[in-house]
Amino acid sequence: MILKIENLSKNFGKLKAVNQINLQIEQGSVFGLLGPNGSGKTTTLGMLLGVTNPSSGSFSWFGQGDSPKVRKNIGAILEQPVFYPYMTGAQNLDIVCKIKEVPKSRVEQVLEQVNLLDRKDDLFSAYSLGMKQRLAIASALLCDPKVLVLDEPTNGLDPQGIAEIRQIITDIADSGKSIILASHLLDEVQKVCSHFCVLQKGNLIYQGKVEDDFSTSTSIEVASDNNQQLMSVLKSMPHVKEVIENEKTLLVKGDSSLNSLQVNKHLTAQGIVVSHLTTISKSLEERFLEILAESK
Amino acid sequence: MIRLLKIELAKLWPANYFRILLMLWLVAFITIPFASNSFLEWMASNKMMSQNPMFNPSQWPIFDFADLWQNLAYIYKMISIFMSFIIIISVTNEFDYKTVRQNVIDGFSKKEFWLSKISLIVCFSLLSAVLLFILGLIIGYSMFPIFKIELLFTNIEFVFAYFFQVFYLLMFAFVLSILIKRAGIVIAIMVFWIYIIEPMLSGIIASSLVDWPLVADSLPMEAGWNLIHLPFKKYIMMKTQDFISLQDVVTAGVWFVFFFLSSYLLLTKRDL
Ligand SMILES: Nc1ncnc2c1ncn2[C@@H]1O[C@H](COP(=O)(O)OP(=O)(O)OP(=O)(O)O)[C@@H](O)[C@H]1O
Ligand SMILES: [Mg+2]
Repeated sequence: MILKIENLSKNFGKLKAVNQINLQIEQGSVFGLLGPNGSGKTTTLGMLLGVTNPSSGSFSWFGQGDSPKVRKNIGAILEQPVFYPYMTGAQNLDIVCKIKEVPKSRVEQVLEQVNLLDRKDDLFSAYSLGMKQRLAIASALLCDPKVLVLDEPTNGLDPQGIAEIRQIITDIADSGKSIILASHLLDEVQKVCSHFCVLQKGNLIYQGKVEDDFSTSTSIEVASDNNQQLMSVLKSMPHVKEVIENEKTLLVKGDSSLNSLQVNKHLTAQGIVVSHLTTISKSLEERFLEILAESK
Repeated sequence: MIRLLKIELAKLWPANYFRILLMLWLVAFITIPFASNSFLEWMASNKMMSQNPMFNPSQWPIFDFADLWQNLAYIYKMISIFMSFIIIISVTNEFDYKTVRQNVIDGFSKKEFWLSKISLIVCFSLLSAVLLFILGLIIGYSMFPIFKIELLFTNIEFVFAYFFQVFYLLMFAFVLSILIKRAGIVIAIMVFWIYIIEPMLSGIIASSLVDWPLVADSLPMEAGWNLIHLPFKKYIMMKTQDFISLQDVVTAGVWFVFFFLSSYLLLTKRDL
């Protein structure tokens, strides 16, 4: 386990920005922290990273509690990339090396990794937003961290920049590192995360695996000229959990091994000709809205 | 502490403001004694002034040993404000750029961040005192090339007083910077405080509370300033405090401890 959070809370005056959060994050997972603007994502990460003092509760990294020494093994960016603007990219990373007590030789390696080596001697203030984000990720990678904490790393980037950063994140995840990713972009979490939780107004309202919510269940929409007959045939089909009748179509819910080809074959064998057949891939967005609606 | 100082210097060195202010300070430090010497000679050669036989500045033993340490320390304490600007800009920049936050995320404790700035302040104070010592020896020797060790080190305590005075001023600047976080405002407030508010306050206190001169001397800047009293009056036969009084050191010491603790508490107890 890389992180265990117990009853963590933060109040700003009357406002409960983070309210009694409990969470455990396993080694090797890519954990998405989802929530609308102002739901407490940055505040939570700020507490985990030692800059915001918790009002109550506790947390522990790698089972070793919370200390600056532990933080030297974490690579993290909070909100926007933060560097000294009057220094070059390489000089900035040197400072981080000194703070984290890692050898200077890492600088070139991580710059290579984020594809910034040829601009290392330019001033940070002269970098584009995308380059700043990449430098921030390079900086987070300096200590060869066991876990990477990223707070909206694609914020403000253009589609190409977003794709680049996501590729870097996916590569890092594939290399076996754990990642904690805060975002309000749902497809981002869906694309890169294995687990996620949802925060709303400081409360943790949902937590689960991304695949539980998507790949383990399949929804297929079917229609024919006789929906009553269709219904009874589908209900007896293997792997089908539930059939829901809509106005003109039937929604078939089954486990992950169910697919539209099977359904089509089965129905043809029963002598039923379908007029409509589509796989509905439920997006995290729907699930997210569902979760938010349920919590009200 | 050395590690922290190295990090601070690595942060400062690439910054233009640092190099400019440090150069200004160095140039001022080296030229001021020579410039003031020429000024005194000019005053002496000025006919109108030299008519008064009592008043002959070129005969004043300003840069002769024994007198020299207090005189130089007094002259130099006027330029330590340059140093305080470096501290102010360096600290407020960290808040401005949010790098203080990132330093902590990267693995500093808040206490280490505080210590790194303290190490810089100590470094500058030492640099000032060491430079005063070296220049004192050079100037004193060139004016008065007789070398008597006991004379050389008479009044040497003013070098330590100068160290404390710079340390004190930089700590005051440090606390203001943490509190206010904006370089321009901090510098404005500091200059305003030193040249307008405190003189006015001490004027009011001195006139309304005649029995309490101690209160006027205990204002924060006055307390630091009073460590080294104006020495030149003795050359025109006025009473001068030509030693460091325990009372001054204690008054300044109390404020100093206050600056030290409040800077620590402000930095470590607040959210970044
Ligand atoms: N320093 C502070 N003082 C007072 N209130 C604060 C402070 N920082 C955050 N808040 C409040 O706490 C709540 C949570 O803020 P937080 O920045 O954690 O949200 P977030 O989930 O990161 O939002 P976003 O997606 O916009 O980044 C908000 O209502 C915010 O206004
Ligand atoms: Mg945020």
